[in-house]
Amino acid sequence: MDAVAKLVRRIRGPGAVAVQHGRGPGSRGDVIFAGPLPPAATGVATYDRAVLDGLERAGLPERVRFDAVWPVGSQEAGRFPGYHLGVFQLGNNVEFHLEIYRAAFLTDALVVLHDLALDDFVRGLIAAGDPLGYMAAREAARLQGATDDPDVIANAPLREPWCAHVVRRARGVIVHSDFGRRYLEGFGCRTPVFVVPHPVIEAPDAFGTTAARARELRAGLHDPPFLVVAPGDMNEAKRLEAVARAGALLGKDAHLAIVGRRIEGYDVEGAIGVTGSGARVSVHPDVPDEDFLAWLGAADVAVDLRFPHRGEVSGSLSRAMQAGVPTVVSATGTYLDVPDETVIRIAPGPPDPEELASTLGRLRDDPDLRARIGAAAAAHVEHLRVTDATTRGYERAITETLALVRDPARKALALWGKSLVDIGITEDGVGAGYGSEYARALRSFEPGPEIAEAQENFERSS
Amino acid sequence: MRVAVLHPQTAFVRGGAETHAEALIRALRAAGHEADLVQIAGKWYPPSQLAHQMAVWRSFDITESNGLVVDAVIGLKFPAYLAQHERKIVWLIHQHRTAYELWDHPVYADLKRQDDGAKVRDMVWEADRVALGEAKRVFTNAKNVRDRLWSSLRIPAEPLYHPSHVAEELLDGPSGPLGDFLLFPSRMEGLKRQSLAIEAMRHVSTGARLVLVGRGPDESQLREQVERLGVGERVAFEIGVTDQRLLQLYREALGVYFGPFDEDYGYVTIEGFAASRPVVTLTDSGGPLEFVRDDETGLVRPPEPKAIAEAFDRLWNDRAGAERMGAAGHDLVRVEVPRWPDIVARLLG
Repeated sequence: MDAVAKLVRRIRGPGAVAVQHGRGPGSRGDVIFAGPLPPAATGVATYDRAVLDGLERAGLPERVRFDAVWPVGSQEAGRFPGYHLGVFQLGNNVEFHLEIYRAAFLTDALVVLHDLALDDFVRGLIAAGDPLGYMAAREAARLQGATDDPDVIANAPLREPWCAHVVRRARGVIVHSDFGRRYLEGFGCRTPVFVVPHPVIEAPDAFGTTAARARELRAGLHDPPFLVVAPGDMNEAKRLEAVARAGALLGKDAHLAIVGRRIEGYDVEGAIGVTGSGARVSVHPDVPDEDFLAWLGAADVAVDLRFPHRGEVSGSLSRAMQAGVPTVVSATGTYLDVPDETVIRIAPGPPDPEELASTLGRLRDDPDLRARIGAAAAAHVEHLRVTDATTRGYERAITETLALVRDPARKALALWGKSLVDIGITEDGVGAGYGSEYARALRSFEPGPEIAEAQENFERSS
Repeated sequence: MRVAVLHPQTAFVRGGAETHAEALIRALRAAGHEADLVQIAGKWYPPSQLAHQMAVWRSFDITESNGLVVDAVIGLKFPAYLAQHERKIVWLIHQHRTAYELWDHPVYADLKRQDDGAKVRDMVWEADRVALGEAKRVFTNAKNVRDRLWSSLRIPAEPLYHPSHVAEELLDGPSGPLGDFLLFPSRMEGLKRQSLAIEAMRHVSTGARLVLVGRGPDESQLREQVERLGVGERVAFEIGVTDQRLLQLYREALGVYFGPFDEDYGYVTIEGFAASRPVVTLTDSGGPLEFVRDDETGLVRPPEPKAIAEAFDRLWNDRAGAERMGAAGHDLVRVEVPRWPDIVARLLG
């Protein structure tokens, strides 16, 4: 019986599943949402704010008992088992996500993967001596080589599924692109995966209100004929040295502005200093949000590359698209899921400055092409906003996962599977029929369509 | 014939269902069959436990025991009758009521208030549809239970009454003169509504007293109510009485009161009539109304304290009428309620 076999596999597998015996009188609510919130200095915080605002707008907290918690400290641990479901925002750093990750093992979890890789995060867990880190590393190592996706193989942080442990333990996973789904399923993931688009963070008029500032910024650079902006966190994966080289190849008409959060350990000036692009490159670290938007508004073109890719969806790309700025991206991972007409892609892997320069040159020389791509990008983001696609995706993921964890048949089966494991029944044993009658009986209680009709008639007659 | 009587055990709880199962086994054995009680203990909360119990019974193999073929099984109560057997007879005491007629009840609804109650309700309906539908024959212990089954799942069934051993002893023994108290033997819990009878005692204007017999989770609450209403001298409790004491109480009572909410069948009515006592019941009491006819075999009143009190006073003031109704009830039970040899023959026939 598949259901029992699956359960026995889950329970016997590395990192045993905790079988929940039902909530006691300490039950607090249905859903707890754990993730960074503003003013935490991480993009996940603005993301979470947008998601929570959307769910509030949609009235979800009126339909299910819903709490949000931030910051998450070890003292909060006792809260989580009191909820039927936790929504846990997981990013690739221990600074913001350590306790959230730990909490995801304390109750039935719907985990949201902001990075698929979680490589830095798991290393951080191990450095902290957390057993969950070793469990995650062990499971990732075991699954290394399980996928033959060339895009995954080309990106080292993705080759080992560092997220596999928490994903297997979870009852549902939210990713932000089809690439995320393909990635997880490529490693044999059986946890339900929900693809929910990244929320539209900025207000519809955000770029209108920063237009004057955008003009000022551009004037400060002596109004270069062609302004390229590389937005977002300054890190090695952005390949800013290649972007700077490409900028240099464009000639003196072009200016490259690198704008975003400075990331500790990455020497951006050192990286671009070796390119010889000199005054035609400027670095603007840790600017206020309004300036960040203004830089995007001022840009003729944005560049948002990744190598290696970690499976994340770029918030900077989303903002650039909303601003109607044509953006050059790497043809890898999540960037492949963005509609073709809304971005322009260059080859995956380490970017070739000449190819990038050629692409940028084409955009510089063809204002119509820039306008077409920019308009398509802005329309795409507007469509996501108007349809409230993120909120609808979250609602569906929460509702379906909540139904799954509340399913009394599943609870009964979990208890049964745990008992089978306790008495030494293996997957082979289940295959030979041990315990399978029980699962078959549970399945036979699935109501057919006639039950709803009979209940309706009964209620009417009584 | 080797017959297994299937019954779900709720440890430390004893009521009519247990009496019924034991009486059936005695009757089967008396008729020459090899009969045994087969029980699996369980509880019905939280709802996932109910689903667990259902699956346990449904997957339970009762085709043989110790190498001996089990020729037939008789299932009495949910979820025991979910067990599969090629010759399964169901004698339904009641369905899982909070999934059916009590689903929406303002006081007695329980499953509906649980997080996963609706899902379990659907499972119960589906399981009943299959398990009762596959039974060779379906009997119910009362017309009321038959009607509920039909109105919910459209499964036909034959009502088959039966006497309790107390009723049999009363039927076959002498009956004494009418006393001065109304007897109300029942498990002390919400659906039996002892509190309504206690409330009624405030309005009784004659010397009629009320004797509550039984035990249950509401006992202390009922005692507090008696205290609070100042009716301690008119309401007595007898907890955990022997059968002999119960027989004596029936034989010495003025009448019997039995006013539960929508009872399935209810031995109390049959026992009261067997003792030639008139029975006071209520318009929403369910099973008792199959026997109590107003002013013929007893009194039927709305579920209101003053109306109940008026019935008690009426019996006190009209002893001849009470005797007449008790005698008519006695005759009715003799005609309507078959004795155990006939019941066994019908069940296995």
